[in-house]
Amino acid sequence: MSEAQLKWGRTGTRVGFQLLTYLLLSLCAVIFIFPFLWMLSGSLKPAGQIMRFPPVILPELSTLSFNSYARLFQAVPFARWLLNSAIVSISWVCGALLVNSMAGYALSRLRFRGRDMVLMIFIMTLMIPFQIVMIPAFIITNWLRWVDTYLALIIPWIPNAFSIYFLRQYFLTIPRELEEAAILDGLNKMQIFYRIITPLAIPAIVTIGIMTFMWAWDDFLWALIVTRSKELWVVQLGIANFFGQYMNAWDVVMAGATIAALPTYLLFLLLQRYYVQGVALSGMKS
Amino acid sequence: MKSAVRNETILGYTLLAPALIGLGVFVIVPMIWAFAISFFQWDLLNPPRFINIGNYLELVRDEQFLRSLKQSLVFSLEVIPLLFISSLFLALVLNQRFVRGRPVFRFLYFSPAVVSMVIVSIVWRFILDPSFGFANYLLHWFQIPRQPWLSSVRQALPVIGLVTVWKSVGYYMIIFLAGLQTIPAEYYEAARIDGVSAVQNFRYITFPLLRTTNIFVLVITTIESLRTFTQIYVMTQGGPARSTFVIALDIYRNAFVFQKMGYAASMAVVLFFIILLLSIVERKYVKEGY
Repeated sequence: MSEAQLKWGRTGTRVGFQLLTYLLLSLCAVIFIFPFLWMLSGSLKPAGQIMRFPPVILPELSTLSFNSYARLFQAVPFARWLLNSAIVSISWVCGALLVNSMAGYALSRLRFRGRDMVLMIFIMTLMIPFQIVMIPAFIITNWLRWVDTYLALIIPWIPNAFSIYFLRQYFLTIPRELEEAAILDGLNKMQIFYRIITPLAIPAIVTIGIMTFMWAWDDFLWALIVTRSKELWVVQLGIANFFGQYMNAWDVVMAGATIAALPTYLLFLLLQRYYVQGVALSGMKS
Repeated sequence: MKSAVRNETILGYTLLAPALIGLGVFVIVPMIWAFAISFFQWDLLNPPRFINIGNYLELVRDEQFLRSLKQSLVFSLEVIPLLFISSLFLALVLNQRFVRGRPVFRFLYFSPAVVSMVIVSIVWRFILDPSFGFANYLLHWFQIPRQPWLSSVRQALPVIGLVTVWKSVGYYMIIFLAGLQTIPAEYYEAARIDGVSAVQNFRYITFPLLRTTNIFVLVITTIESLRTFTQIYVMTQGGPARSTFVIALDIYRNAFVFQKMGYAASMAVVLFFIILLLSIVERKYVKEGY
């Protein structure tokens, strides 16, 4: 075999390997995206078409209907559920940003007794599975008379050890010199926090904001436990229950699922970089 | 000077107060309290009655609980290795230098992780419907007979496991990708000069250096799979014939359907110790493996 042939052969295998890789990557992409496309197309199919076998893969444009969406808002208080989810998620995010960045600041930039112990305790709470705190947390919520109110949905999980730790680590990377200069300018510790540290930590704050929004919007089990009345259901709870009720109206169910999936999906699409950073760091911290 | 120190202490605890109170009331106190409750009989209406280890004695004889426990373990035994291997594999494939469009693939693989488990479960329920679902259409295309999927005692639990893997594989892939970034390129450079094969590269460089990530993913997937609740609640409610009844569903049902707080707490305590034990074993085993 000549030198040239050998080289060509090697390039050939390499090209083949790369092609195979792309083929695999594309196949996986289809596997991950298809169910969502199927959900969307299901929501647009006329009721008579959705339960047909073999299924209609590409519905004709003329048969597409938004009927399911109209029926969704008529049949159940879907708008109310969306509103509840929005109220809960947005308040949760605002509260979380405030509470967790305050704690993160105290744990990174202030010096006081017991600081490291508090940090240790926070980190330890990360290892406690939800199932074990769920029952007493419900009993406490019940004692506070928060069951079946927005308070129960919003307040309990605002303080989050992961968020505090994440923000603390970010605050630690901000150079001390900036702080010293600010002290010379006569700023106190509180002013340093909201005039110097916070503006510089915007990327970390955005990351925690998105992650918290996802937790809040996607939460199911806690909402299931602490809400009773239909008017207070968040959208996840509404969909899960509505699904049991309208099992056969698959087009309507898919319409609900599509709408409820949009906020987190879009947020992720727009701010992917920030969110991925947060997830990546969660693996590093161990 | 002394007052400055005191002021900083006051400010520190003021800023920490909301987080400390919140985590105290809803995580730390409940954690300890759950242990206490597990020694009582309590329906929330009548005052709690101390029954010593009565709940635990009942647990051992509770056939449903033992079955839930077994099914939880079987489920985890499917989900943990599948999730670990597939997310590591995807991360390795995506991490190859020649791959273009990485952000696009990453976005697509990760997207199931940002959509709620409720929605994912409903969509898969739709796809897996035995009479008109897309899954059976796909099989039909390959001339394979229709499958009952979620309505089969034998298939339901493994299928829910696959859906779980589908939803979270992108999440762990991101964690592995981040871990891969921390491995210095010089190692591979040196290996290349020595003519090391790709398999050896993985065996002697990549995998050992991913140690912390490996432990993290293993421990987290163990916790997550043992506390699986939502997908089962939405897809099968524990059926058919209790074949997908897992421990988290049992805890939920006892606490919030039958109002047996003490009994449910004792189940949660057992779950807690299983998780604790497994994560200690995993940590130790993975560490010793190197």
